[in-house]
Amino acid sequence: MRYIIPKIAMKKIQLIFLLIIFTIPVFSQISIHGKIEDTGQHPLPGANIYFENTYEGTTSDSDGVFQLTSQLKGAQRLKVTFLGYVPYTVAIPAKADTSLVIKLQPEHNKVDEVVITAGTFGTADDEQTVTLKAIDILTTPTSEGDVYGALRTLPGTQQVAEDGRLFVRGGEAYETKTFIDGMEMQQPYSSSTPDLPSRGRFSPELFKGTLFSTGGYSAEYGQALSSALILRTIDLPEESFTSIGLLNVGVQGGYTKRFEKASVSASGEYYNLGLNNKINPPRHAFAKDPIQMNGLAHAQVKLGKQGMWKTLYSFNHHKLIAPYATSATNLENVAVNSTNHYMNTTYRNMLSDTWMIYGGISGDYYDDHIKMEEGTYHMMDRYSQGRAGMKYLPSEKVKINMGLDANWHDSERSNDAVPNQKTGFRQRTLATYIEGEFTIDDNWAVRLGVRPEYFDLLQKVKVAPRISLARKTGEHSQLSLAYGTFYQNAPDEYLAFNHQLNPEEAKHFILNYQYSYDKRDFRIETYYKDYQHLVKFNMTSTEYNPDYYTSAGNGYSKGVDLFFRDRKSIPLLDYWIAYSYLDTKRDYRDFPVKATPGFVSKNTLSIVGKYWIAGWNTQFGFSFTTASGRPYDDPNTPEFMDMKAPAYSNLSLNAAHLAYLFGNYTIFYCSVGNVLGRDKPYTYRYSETPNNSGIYERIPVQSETLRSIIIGIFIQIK
Amino acid sequence: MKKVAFIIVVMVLVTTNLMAQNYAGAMQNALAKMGAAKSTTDFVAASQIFERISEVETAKWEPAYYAALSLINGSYTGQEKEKRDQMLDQAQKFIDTCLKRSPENSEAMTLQGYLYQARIGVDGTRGQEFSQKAAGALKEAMTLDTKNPRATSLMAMNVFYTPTFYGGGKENALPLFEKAEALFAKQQKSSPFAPSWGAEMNQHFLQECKK
Repeated sequence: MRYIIPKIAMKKIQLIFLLIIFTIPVFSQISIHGKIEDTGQHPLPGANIYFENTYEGTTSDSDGVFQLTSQLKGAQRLKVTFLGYVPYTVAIPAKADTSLVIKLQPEHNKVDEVVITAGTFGTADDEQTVTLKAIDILTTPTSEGDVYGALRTLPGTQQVAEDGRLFVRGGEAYETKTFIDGMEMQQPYSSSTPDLPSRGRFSPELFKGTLFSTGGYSAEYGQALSSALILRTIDLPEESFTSIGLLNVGVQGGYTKRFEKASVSASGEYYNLGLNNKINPPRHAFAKDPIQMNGLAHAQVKLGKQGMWKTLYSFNHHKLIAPYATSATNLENVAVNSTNHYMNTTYRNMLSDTWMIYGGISGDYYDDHIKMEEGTYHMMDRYSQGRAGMKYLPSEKVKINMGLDANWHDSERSNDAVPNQKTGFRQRTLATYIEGEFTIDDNWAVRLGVRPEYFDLLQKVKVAPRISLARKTGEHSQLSLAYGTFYQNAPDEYLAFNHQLNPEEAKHFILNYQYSYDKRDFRIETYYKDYQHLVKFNMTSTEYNPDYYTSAGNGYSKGVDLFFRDRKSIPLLDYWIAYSYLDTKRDYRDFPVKATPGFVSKNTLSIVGKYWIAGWNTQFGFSFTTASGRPYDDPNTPEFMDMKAPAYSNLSLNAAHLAYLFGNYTIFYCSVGNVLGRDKPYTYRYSETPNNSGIYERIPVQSETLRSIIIGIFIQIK
Repeated sequence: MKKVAFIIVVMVLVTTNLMAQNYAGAMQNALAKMGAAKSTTDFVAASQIFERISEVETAKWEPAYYAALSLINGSYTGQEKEKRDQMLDQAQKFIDTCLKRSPENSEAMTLQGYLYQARIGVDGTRGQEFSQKAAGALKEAMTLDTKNPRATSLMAMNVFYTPTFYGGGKENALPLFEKAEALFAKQQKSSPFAPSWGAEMNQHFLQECKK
């Protein structure tokens, strides 16, 4: 018998079948039981175990054991996720009673990951690294609110108190470069007369992160022989505010306006040491008390989710007439009148999840007049820089960074006492860099970079390789190694006379061990630096002959830096201890033989402590620095640089009291430098010409004020 | 053919409805688990149910929201600092997912503020940094939705725990708690699983302020 099923009915039946398949579960069952472990066979309780793309799952118990039964049909994929471990997926056959032991691999852990640390004091974003935040800088007593002052309490730096700039690991001050949002700031210090310390041009509050590298830094940065100070300006501030500061040395004020996706701010500072010099008179009266005016404007615009555009303009004007000893009895007035305009604008954004672009341009203009008895020196420098690069971040373990960096520098020097002796040069450099950072099996990190740089005046290319390696030695400790070659143009004052001077060259070898856990940091670093092509000049020939200057100088530096910071042992006490040992010799400039330069102390120790007393809303700070005596040369003896100045020591104290006055957040601040009134010269200079009895007279180089005192009130109005 | 079309429509309705019931059921089950949670393990387990739902329902922000909320609440039950921070790290991932699926979501921003506050719960010395961050997120949440009672209530808590001389304390927090209370009374659910928690906690703090 045959049944004839009408066509339409046939369709219906098919549909019903379909419907059944769709809606009625097939009565098969999957059941799994098993255990979740880490690679060391320790059970992992609380792991999430589930069938992929379904809601069905369970959590492992305190022994890491789980049991999962499901009505799902067919083979499934089982997924296991657990915090801090790599997710694991496995295919499960459609049958009852599958038994499994699943081992999870630890995830690349951000907190204790192995990072390149040799030479670097890390960023403010990461709790784990050795850090100096704006607040740390402001509250370090010897800093007197200056970024560079605070950095001088870190190991690797020298105490050259009469200068104020950073001298790192046997390098001269110019060998440390400051980068603001990646852009070079050529002269980040205010101009000064000899023996008067200069300060940074920018307030530490402008920066959210400070990365201070004392060697072996990334190929992204060039034109610095010894050290790179990488400052990152703040992003959008939380809200609008007005700030006012009244000090015994001047006034400051600023206004910040926050918009939804942007902010603008403007601030000004006026310092006049007149009042202070009356209350706390300097050793020698100033013919004109120092006056300094600073203006700063900056704007930030947030573009999309991760993009940011920033622009910054600063103006700085500095005027003073200070006494300068030319012999033991004779003082000569030196007048300084200097102006600086600086502007930079930077941009960064993510093109996709893995590609980031960044770039910027900057302009930097200096106009300095220094009037001495022998004539007025005029120095004009114009720098511009353009930079563009991209970062490729395919995973947490790989970072590739590459870019272009172009610099222009116009320099002019003249002395009105010597007419027609205008000197100057125009130097252009073009550098490219590419660098890759790779983390291998969680314990090794490697950074390989190279920076070819073209020098326009020489028409030569120099290639600077950079290599860093880090190996995790324990849960919270690691060992790092770094090697790099660094080039920097010969200093302007020599390049002005001889355009064919080679860039100066330094090779760094660094070995570093670091232990960092729960607010305690310890690091020890040892290094060797080899210097080549340092500028050298011959005392016997005439000054204006270009051949007078050569690139024949060389030298070395080696030493050990120790650092310990503890924010844990005593609640509310934060202290650090930094010790540096330095052995360095150079045959450069007018040195007749290889010798230790006059800015070098063999041993330097800094101790900084800050204690917050909550009941008083007050923070007390102390810093103590001591350094062994620096060498100097006595031209009355035949030996070179064989004399030792007295040891340096300085104890400074400060206190900051927080109050809430008339609804506004107010800080009362007071700091005293050299509390103990130690009155030993930093070093000695000698008069340039012998006196009547044929003897070069010794002149002590010492601070103009015995104790420095700063008192101020800072108010923030929201 | 009409019949065929009808059957297809019915079929589609039936299956989507089944799935929807499934989603609703799973969410209700997870919410009940979270509501009953006492120990860290309970909160983690509840969060994992939400995580599983979130993995399937990739267009919905609510599962990720609750996965985070459960971990944040759970972080207060933990003992070990490191573990508690890890929970918050994981919660942060869920908030990021949530904001990716629903940008400019006032509830998700509120949760971000709540997470920052939990970071202070782990370690009191982070107070200064994270109370500012929390205030920033909560302010944004309040701008995104002026009627969000949770944003206002958590902001009030931020003020409550800020020392008086910084402009915090009971007196300054009270008007905000009162405002939040009014908002709680008026709150309407925009979707079945839209967040609605926080009124009790607000009440508790309101009483504290009045003491």
